Amino acid sequence: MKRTFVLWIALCLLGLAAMQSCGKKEVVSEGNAIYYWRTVFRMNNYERDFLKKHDIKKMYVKFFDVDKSWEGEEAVPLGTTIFLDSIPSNLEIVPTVFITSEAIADYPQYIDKLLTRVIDMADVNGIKFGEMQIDCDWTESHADEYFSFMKELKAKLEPKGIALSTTVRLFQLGYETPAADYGVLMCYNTGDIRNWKTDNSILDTKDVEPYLGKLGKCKLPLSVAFPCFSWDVTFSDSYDDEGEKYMRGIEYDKYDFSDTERFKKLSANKYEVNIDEDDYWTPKYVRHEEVSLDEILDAKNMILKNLSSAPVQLVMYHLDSVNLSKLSDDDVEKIYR
Amino acid sequence: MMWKRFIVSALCLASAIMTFACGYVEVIGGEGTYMFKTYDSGVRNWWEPDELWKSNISFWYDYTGGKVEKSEIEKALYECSVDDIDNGQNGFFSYLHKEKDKEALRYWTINKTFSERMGDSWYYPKPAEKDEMARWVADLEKMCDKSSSQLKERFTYLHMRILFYLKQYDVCQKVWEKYDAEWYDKELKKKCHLYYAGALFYTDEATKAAHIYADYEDWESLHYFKKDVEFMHQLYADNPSSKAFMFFVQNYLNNYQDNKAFVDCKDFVAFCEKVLSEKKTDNPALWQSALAHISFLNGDLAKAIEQIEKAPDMQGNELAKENARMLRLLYNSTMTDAADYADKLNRDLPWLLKKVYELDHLWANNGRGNEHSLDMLGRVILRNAFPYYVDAGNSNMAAALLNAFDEVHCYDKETRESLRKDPNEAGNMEYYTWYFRYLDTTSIDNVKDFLAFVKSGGKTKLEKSLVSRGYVGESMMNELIATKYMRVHEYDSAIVYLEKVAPSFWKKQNITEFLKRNPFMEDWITANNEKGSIYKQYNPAKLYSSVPTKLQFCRIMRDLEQNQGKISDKEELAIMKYAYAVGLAQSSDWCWALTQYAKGSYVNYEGLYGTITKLEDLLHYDNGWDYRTSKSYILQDRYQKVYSHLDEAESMTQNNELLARCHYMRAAIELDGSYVGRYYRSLVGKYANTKFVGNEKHHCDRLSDYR
Repeated sequence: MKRTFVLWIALCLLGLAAMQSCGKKEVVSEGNAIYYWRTVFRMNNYERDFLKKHDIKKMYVKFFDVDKSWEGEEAVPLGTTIFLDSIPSNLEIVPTVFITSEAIADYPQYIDKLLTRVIDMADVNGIKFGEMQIDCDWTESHADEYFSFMKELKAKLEPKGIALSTTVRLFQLGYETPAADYGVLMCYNTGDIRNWKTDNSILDTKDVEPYLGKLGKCKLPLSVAFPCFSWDVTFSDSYDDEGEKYMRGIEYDKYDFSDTERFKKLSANKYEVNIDEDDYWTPKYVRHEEVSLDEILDAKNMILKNLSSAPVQLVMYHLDSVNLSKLSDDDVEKIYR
Repeated sequence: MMWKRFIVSALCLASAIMTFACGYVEVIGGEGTYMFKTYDSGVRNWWEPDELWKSNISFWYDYTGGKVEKSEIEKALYECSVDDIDNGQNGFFSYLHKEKDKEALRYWTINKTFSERMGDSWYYPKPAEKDEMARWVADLEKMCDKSSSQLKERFTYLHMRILFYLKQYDVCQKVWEKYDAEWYDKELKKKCHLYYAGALFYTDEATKAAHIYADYEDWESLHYFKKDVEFMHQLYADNPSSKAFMFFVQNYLNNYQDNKAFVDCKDFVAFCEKVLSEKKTDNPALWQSALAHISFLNGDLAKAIEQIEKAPDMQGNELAKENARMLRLLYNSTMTDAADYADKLNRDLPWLLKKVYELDHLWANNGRGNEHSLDMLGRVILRNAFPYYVDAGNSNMAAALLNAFDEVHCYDKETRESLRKDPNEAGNMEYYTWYFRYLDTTSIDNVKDFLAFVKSGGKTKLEKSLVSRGYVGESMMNELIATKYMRVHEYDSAIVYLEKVAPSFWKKQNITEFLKRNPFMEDWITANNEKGSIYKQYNPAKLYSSVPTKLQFCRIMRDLEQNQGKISDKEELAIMKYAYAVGLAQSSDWCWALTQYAKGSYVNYEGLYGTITKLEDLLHYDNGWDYRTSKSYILQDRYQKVYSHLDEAESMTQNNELLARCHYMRAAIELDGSYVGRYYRSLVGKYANTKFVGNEKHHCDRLSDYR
């Protein structure tokens, strides 16, 4: 309780100070943050150096997901992270649990189990934590359940002196805010991935713009997270009732777009695949998605200008040497700065 | 593009047809079917008892010297919780207490506690529990060392389970490696060996692990391995004859089938060639077929056929050789321009039909077994051979192929036989097969030829083989021929065939219930006392008091046709023409069962309409299939004949009662909605004073609307 109260006061004071500093949004908390979103916790040297080099003080580590079981009857933990590496010193770990919107309605059945599991996991793996985060892709139909869940969870965490944060998707901004000490605004997955017409579902400033006006009204202090990943979204050449191509799936580093015989470029990042007539199983269209530094910085500027208070912290999603190594140290600093 | 349309249609149809045809007519063996199969990925069904379950009960029963009932042991093993060990409520645990069997009690305490924790999906061990597990490990190690203990292999199993959970893979391996006693329980040995394989996998000894998983046919676990050519090289270096190649080669080829646009198979081909040239493997049939299948997937059919030719006769295990033979059949079935096409099919098709037939019970029992063989058969017949024979105008072979295919495709043997003895409305499979749909829509002559063909038993080896594999009910065929004659209003010819149908057949037809409808009682007339009242002399209410109704109907229609020439009284003749028009119109509408085998209409695409539409979608290209005769009948012919009889009746009669009925009938059967109003207006105007309209208007809303 005491710890949360102190955190709140600190956030308010720092936020106030930031608001008065000529509109420039300084970051409230010291150091930077990053997500760790893999099922095995094992870092290579590049990743360990990255943490040091970029003053990463906080890491949101996915502990597990909660989703409906295969039989669809009960909500169960899935994809539990296996810790094979030690936690670097001087790094605050925030256990993070992703709950699907389908599973959130069942929370009364598992809220205590979830908390116990997080505490046990942290304990066994030598993680001391003062904050926990819930990530949920709730929509309007599950908003009430999510708010109730967060309220109850916060009440359970406060006596233990554990703060609670939540992720905030752009489309969730229009709703009331869940009970949390602060939110992490996800500045990624902004577009409709299933729609072929989407240029970049990971981040497109056009998709961010409509939500900027709502940022100022958000009652939660916000950290802001930026993407550092890429993927290829595949589509078939069959169409739904609205004449849109069907999305087939997501692939990682599978295609060699320099093979121009195979991949006919339709636009900057969209390709038609030259496949045999009778080859139904190969996707006909591919949209390669990655986010350039300029786009990240544009989005960052747009969001920071519209926040009502200074961001709590800047966060990158996520720690993965394959993607991070595409950025120079200077690029990373521009994102965090 | 043509094939793509086929595939999309087929996929849509597969689901659409399910509702229409009770699931019998599925499009199987489609484009996405994997063709290369050298291992059975069947997963144990939930209702099949685990072997370990059974052996556990037997072991503990023997352990107690038969002093505890097996049912009590089963409860102790699979229902009791750890608390039940000491509460005296279970006979087995009480026995262990009575015998002061500390070793067994300790085993069960650890086992139950560990299993209960593992059974809770939310469980994550607390530090104290991890310490407790470490103590268990120490205890179990000591117990395992007591070589005299009967429980040694059970201690070992539990020990390895816990070590595996604690990720102490090195220790887990050592436990297995140092086990020096004989294994009595082979299931337990298998489980321990698989834990050992798992421990190897996690300690970077994947090749060794893969061999073990493959030896136990645990293909599911192999899915977690790297599946690239590099790993296959490592496997090969370790053991050129590893059974694991059955999995990895199949996996590579099926993945290649899905992603060939993005996969360069050069390394794989080179690897196959190396394996074959070095002659170290004891399964060259697998590698030779792999090479052939790459060529086939790459579109080089000639090379594929050349490569597959010798594969079935090469050294290899049974699955690899069978796979090679199925591929040879598949490749040959695509050679539709070959002069000796039938001979090519004959080489392996009878074998595959026999195989599928013999494995039939496996499909029924556990949903696997002949699934792949059936997929391949579907691909060979539905996609290649059947269209070939339709195009070639050989309707007998086309029908015989579908007949043989449906005979193994629809249900298992026992169900087929039982349904044929005692069919019911939902289970009458004979009318929902590809075979039936083909015969239902092909020409009358084709069906007659086919019946003669079946009776002759066929001439060539392939024909004989197919005829022997099929099932043809002679009554059903005669009835179908007659029905086709009825569709084209040749009642005389229909009667010849209907008279050949065995009386017992009528009772088990899928449409028996619907045949009770009397086509001479106008369905569109709502006043019951007016139905059939204009031709009372025929006593229409009694016409359909007995079966077979089709035969009765045909005889009446024939009589009406023949008597029309003998009657000079125009009024009587007009009534006969009206009666004929009524019978004709109703025989394909309200009494649809007279001419069709499922209710259908042009609007809802079911029944004969549906069949035609679906067949057009499935075999969309022009293949000479004579379904258009049926289509023309449905859409056009019958109406022309009905209208001409009404025209004649109207021109002959002065009887307003008959004229009113003719108008009323026209309103009921008119396809063009904009014409209907004029008939009703005429009825409530010119014929308002007829007894018929006077009666009917009290029942018919439409007539009331025009008043």
